[in-house]
Amino acid sequence: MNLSIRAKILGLSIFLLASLAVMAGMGIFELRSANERTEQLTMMTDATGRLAAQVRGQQAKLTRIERDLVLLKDKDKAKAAAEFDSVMRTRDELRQQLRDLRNPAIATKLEEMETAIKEYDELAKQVRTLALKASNERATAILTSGGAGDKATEDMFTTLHALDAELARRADASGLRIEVWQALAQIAQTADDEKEMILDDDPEAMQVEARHIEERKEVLRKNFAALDRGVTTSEEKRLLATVHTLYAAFETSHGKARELALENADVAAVRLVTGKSIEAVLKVGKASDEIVDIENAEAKAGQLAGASAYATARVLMVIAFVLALALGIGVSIVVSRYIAGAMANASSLVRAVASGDLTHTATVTNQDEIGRMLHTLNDMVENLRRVARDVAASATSVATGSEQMSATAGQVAEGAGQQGAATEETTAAMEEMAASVQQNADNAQQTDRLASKASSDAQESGQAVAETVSAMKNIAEKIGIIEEIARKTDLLALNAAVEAARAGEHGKGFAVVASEVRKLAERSATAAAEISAQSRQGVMLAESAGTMLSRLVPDIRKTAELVQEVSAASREQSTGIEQTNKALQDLDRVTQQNASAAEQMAATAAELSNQAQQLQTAVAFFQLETTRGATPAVRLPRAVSTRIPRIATPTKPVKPMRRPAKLASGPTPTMGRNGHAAARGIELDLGSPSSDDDEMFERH
Amino acid sequence: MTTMTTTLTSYITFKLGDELFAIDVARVREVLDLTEITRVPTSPPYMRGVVNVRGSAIPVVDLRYKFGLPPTPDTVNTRIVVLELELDGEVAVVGGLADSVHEVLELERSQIREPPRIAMRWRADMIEGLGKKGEQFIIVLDIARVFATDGSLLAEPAEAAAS
Repeated sequence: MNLSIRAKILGLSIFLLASLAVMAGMGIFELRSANERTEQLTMMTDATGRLAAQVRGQQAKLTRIERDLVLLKDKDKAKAAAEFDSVMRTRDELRQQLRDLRNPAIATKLEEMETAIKEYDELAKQVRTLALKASNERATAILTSGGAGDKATEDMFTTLHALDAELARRADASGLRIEVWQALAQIAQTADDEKEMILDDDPEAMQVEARHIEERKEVLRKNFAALDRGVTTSEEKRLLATVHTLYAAFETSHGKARELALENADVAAVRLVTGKSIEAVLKVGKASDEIVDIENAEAKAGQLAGASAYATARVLMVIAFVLALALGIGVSIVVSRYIAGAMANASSLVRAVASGDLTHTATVTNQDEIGRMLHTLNDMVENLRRVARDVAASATSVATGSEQMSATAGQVAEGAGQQGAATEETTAAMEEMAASVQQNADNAQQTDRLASKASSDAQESGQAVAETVSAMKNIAEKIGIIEEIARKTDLLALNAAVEAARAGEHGKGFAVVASEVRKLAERSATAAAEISAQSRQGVMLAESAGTMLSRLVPDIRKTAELVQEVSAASREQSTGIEQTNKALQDLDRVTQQNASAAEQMAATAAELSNQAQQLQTAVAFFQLETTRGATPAVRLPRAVSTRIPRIATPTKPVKPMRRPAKLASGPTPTMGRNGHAAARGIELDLGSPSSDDDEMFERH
Repeated sequence: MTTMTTTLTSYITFKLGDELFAIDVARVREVLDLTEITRVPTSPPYMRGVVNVRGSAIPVVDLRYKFGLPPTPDTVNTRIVVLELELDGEVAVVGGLADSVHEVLELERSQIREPPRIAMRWRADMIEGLGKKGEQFIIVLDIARVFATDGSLLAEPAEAAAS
């Protein structure tokens, strides 16, 4: 879109304000819905109050039924108890509902109410138990409604009167009659006391009456004892025995009635109903009332606060919206005007730079983003100015450098030629060395063969010597046999001589023969001994010769090994020389590569010079100073020769390299008017430095 | 020739140590190589034992012991000289162990001189005389006496000096 910044800013502002209006509308709508929610909350509060009131009503009902439970007769009591339980269940359900609301405002009160209800329930349980017992009623029943106790009393009275009549017949029985009357009085009074006890509800009074009854029992026991002692006739005895039996029955039934009367459970139940239970009920009522009150108050307050907050927020929002609208429009107008002005300033500077004029700068008025941008633009112009100047200077340097590079390429080519010659000499020397190493290896091999032969010969000699030794030993053995024979002969001769001597004259001749034989034996023994000694010496000599030969064999072997090592070393040398030859070939190749690289370098130098001239032309585009016109500040150096010294490539790798062609050592021909590099229409300086070169070109 | 014959006596010569001894051949029955000598218990120390010569047992006396020489191990040259001796009127056959037995030698009686009374190593009554063969002295023994004597043959003074 091709809109101005001002239009864009205004559009943006309008969009933002519209968004603000939408947001305000949404806020108001939200406020209203919040208000509605508050009302809903109030309704919940109402539910709480209702439940609390219901709990209270159920509690009141419970209290009434409890009272009935205490006051009603046996049959109705069971009915009342059932009703009591059902009402209690209803109340507990309501309680549960109240708790389920989980209203935080009434938590404390609810807790209080719960405690009171628990207290009441505990008491109600006791009341129920006691009421169902109903002990007084049962005691009365025993004593009045035709129970065994009453009949026993009547019979006892009748029997006692009969006894009195019987005693009246005796003149000496007035004391006994007094005892009978006393017994009658005691029994009647005991029955009265018992009735009193049932009607009484004060435990202390009941205790007093119980004590009275005990005292009467004691008196009765004494009366009966006096009668037992006094009666004489059989009729009297019979009547007294009947009295004893009846009294025992009376004591059994009336004792039970007395116990029930003492228990007095009805009264305790009534007391509980009228005392603590009422208190607990009152507490429950109070707590539930308070809950209702709290809820009502809260609901009212919440409703009022919500409504007022809604009204205030609506007014504030409308005011804020109007203010924001006015402020937004004003600010967007001011800002867009300011930005447009600054932009125009910057664009005029950039236009000047685009046309190559680097002499202008923009005026910076303040330091905000736009000010900083103008400042940066100024820096950019300044840097461009410097770069243009540097590029011009560098172009000159590059031109000079390319000339020097050309000269260096010539030197490199010459160096490559010398290197080639040196490589050739080295190769020749290596060949000589290889020949002598080969000879060495041959000699070593021959020596090795000779040494092996000598070793095997020595071994054979050793064997021969060993055989000689064994032969000599054999001879020595044989000589031993000869010696033995000589000795035996000697002995025989001796014995013969003895015999001859003993024979006297007759043995003379025999004696001579024996003597001769003995002498012969002696001589052969001597000769054998000599041979033995000789052969021993021979064995010794042969053995020492064998030892020496056996010592000779390892020496010869060692020699052979050494010679083999020499041979191996020669082989390694030979390999080394081969490698050296290969390295020399590589060197030769590298030398050739160097030569061609030098050639390329010269070509590159020429190209470089050309490029430098182009660069200078390009830089001339920028106008750097206001004082001078549009003239390039850079002078071109002379052009560089593209003639390269050629280096002949050797045909064989390890052959002497021919001398490379003589490098162009004379004055370098320069590209003058004919040079292609000058084809860009650059003004060439054809002054003194290149005049000689030009002449040379002419001669060609 | 006959006179020569009458004056010549045959002797058998043997060696004990370095000394050369001679015994009248008439006393010698034969010379034997050293064979196995069976030791006889409770015999005197100079008795080496008995040897079996063609079925008869002959006692063997170690002459080195008899002549008071130190004992040496037997060699191949050690031999037994079998002697016939008259002892107490009976002929006894006894073997004498000698280091070596050499030869039968004829000596003239005149050549045998009386042994010197003094400075002799052995008792003089055992020795008939001193003969000579070349430069070597030969001690001619009265072998019957030698065997008749039970003890050592060393001279008394030497014995005394030794003790």
